[in-house]
Amino acid sequence: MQITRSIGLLSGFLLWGICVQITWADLAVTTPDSLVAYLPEGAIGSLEVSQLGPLIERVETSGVLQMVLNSPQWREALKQDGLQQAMAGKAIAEGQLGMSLWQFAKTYLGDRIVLGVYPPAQPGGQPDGVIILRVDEAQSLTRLWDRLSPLLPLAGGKIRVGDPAGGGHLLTFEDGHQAVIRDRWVVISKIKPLLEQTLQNLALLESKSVGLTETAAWKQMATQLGTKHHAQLCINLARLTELAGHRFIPAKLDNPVFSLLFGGYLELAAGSPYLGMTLDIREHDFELRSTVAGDPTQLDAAHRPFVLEKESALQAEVPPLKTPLNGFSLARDYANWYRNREALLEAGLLPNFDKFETGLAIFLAGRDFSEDVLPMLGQRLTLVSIPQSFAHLKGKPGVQLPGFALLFDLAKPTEANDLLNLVFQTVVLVSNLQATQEGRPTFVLSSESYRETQVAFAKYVKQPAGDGLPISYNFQPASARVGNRYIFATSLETCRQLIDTLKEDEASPQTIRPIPTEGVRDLFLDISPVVAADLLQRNEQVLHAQNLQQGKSAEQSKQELETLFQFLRQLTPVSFSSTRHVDRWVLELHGGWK
Amino acid sequence: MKANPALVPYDSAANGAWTAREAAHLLNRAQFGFTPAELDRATNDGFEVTLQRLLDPQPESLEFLQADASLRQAAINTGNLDHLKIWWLYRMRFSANPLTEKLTLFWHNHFATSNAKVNSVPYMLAQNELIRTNAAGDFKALLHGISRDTAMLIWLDGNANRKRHPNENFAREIMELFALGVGNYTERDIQEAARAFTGWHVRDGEFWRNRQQHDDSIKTVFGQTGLFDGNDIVDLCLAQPACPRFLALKLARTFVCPEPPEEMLAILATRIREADFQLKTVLQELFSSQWFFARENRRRVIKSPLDLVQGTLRMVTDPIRWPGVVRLLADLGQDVFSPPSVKGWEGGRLWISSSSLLQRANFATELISTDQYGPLSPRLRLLANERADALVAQLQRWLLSDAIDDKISAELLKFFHATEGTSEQKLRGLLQLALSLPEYQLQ
Repeated sequence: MQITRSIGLLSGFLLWGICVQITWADLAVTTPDSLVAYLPEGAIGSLEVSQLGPLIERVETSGVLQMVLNSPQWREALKQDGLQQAMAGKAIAEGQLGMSLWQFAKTYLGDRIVLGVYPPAQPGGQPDGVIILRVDEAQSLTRLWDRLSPLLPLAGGKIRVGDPAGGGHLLTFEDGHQAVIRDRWVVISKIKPLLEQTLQNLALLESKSVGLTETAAWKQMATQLGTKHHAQLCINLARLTELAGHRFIPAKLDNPVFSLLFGGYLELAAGSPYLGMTLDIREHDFELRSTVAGDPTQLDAAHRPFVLEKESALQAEVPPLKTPLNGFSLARDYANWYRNREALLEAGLLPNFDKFETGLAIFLAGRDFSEDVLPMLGQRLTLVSIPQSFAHLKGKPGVQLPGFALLFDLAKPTEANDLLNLVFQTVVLVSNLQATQEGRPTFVLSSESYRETQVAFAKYVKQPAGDGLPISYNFQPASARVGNRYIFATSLETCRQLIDTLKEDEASPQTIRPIPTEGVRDLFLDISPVVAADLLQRNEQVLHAQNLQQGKSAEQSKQELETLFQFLRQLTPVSFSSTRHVDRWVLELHGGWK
Repeated sequence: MKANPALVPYDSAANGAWTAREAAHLLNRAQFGFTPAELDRATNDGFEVTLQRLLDPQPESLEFLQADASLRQAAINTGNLDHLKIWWLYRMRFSANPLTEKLTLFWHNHFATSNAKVNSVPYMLAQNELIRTNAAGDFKALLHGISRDTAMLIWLDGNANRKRHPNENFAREIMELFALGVGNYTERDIQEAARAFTGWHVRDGEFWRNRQQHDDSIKTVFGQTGLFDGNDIVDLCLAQPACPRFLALKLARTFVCPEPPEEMLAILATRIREADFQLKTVLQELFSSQWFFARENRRRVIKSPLDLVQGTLRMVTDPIRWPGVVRLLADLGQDVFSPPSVKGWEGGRLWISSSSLLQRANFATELISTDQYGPLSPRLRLLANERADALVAQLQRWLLSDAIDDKISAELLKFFHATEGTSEQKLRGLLQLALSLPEYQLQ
């Protein structure tokens, strides 16, 4: 692909780079913040990266990098032929450049780079592209040119040097790509008109109207997302649709889970002028956002289940448990999503729903899943997992799993409670039948009153003892209703913790992460790497054995696991969310490190 | 007593020097193949020292003990049968007592029990350890132990064997498959023996004599009458003349040749009885016999999938990635802890069919062209630096010790010269060819 080649050429070019011999100082003084302004119009998308210098500096000096470089995995990887060649190439390149690749990256990639992507000149062809790179100081390109230009003849005619109109240097590569270097600028493209128009835009600094920033898609994105980000991608969806001649996002999806999670977002994207992605990196965290524009409440009837009515809109949130491994919450109009499945999903998937309902019938006591059960369950589903202490055993399972719990928000609490209790009892009954056949421990149903909440739970007929108990002892199903929320938990301990949290939450509502002040968060996922590290460490013996099974030495295995635990403990919780606003829909990935 | 001429001890001086060929024959039969270093050591140490090392318990290295403990615990912790298989495969490869592991496999096949019905990694592990403890020891103790083993009692429906409704499974198998063989008992013997085993149950995962369900009335088995219980039946089986002969047949087929002569079986059976079923004594005599080393008994046994795979990996691969090996063995038809029936793997010629031969060739291809079972061992890769004739000679010595002849050498050499590529690529090509030869399927 030409874009890929352009990026590759940029890298190659920087190694073999040249500098500007005439000054273009005026540009350096008055250039706008975003280089997108210089891209010729007609682009279907742009990607701009800025202020990488401080970030590269931070990565270079970070403890995490040192940890990786000292890790047995890296030492092992260095034995591979490919990496050995890469390291040798790095040493040669650094020798020619007279600086480390870190320093090189900070100097030449540390300011701004933008890539513009254009539709192919011929139908069915590959997209074209333009790359603009700006460095902090013109002198740095001069120094690089002085160092490397004597080596260009060694390229054996694959790179020709010329003098472009307007000054600077013109490099023409064997495959047709051209690069012009002036002052602080490097412009690369294979398409001559694009290259020339970009150079004109650079010269016509004052008349910004020629740039890509004047397109409606960019303007709307800049208004909604701003332009000060480490990286910003803008895809002109309207232009793409226009070029394709039809909507390019399928109206029906081929995966039910994907539909439940992102069906509304994708439908909004189909009519959005742009898709914008931004990356912001701060001292200890980062945010990656993907945004499409439009009013979600104006989606067609089939897609309305993704947008709950405003007055009843539930925010996706996870109860503030003390040490959760992860939490996931999704607010949808499940009953109507299920009813609309023929309009939302590909026809080939639909028979599986019928099979699913048939299989489920044993648990539902004659109720219809679609018409009776889903409407009872309400519009928010939450899943949490929490490490267990196994206090109810005289020992511990050999593999320690977290406890899992599903929380249903009940639309009709009393009716739903009876039905879900019946489902719970049937699940335990079926589990017992299977356990008897497979020689696993069986349960007896019991109940208790915990914090004024009636809890139904399964307990073992005989309390097991020992530290290498079968994996099945991670499970001791329990269920309870707290207010209008029903808990299905894989262990009594998990169920009790949730009851504690929900009871305290009733007194003073809290969430594990703040709900955004603007918009409605309809999907939320949170994972704690530190808790994951603790849990993995509890199972270190099994992980160590798995490494031995793969032929690793005991020493190598222990070092690898230690590195993994250390790495996870360097991280802060990772979250993913989907938030609807009146004029856009935003997906956000947030993570951090200590 | 007059010494039997057929069990005249092997005399290296009288039968040609103790060379790498003899060492390779002994190591192939008494363990799962060998490494180049093991072959060198056995060749240099001589026959007596090598055999004694195989028979006497050797101390395990600390590294082995730690890895063994870790893999064993992981199998218990996860309850995953594949982990248990890997634990045993690891022992077969790395234990300092490889004959013990080979014998453990021999008895695992003899007392074939499958996890498909037992469905418990701890029970299968306990049975395996019971077998290992007695593998080269007292067969009487082993047979008694197996009759009270939890996995075996589940496998043969011990809990269904009740006073007023005896279940004949265990009684039938102990006579037909464990001690006597078909034709050496009557249906009446089985029915009476089944009554003696009534009440031998499993309770909370352990052997339990359920006295309420034991038939303590008089039984008549093999013409003898008494208030027999299960232990008595085991002793009665051991006392039958058919018992040592039955064991002799199984030992000879596994370790010497597929169709042992009647007169040799009779002699071996006598030695088993005279040794009071002490297996180490019997095996020492067997491995020391001229019969074992006889030219006609070399390369007479078709390698089982375990012999083939473990032996090849032992020679070729370092380190070994075990999960792929587990799947491979199941595909090749020898899935440990999951024998196909109470009869175990019949083996012999049945190991080879048109499809299994293709699978064996595919194994060679995958082993040489991918790293899915592990990379080539450094020692083998060093061979790439050797001259062509030296390389071919060395590979033949390691892989085809008893099948070395000029014709094969010439073909291998011709192939080597015809192969294009780097020296390592040529080595890999040659290895693949050698591992695919029909001669390599025999030991």
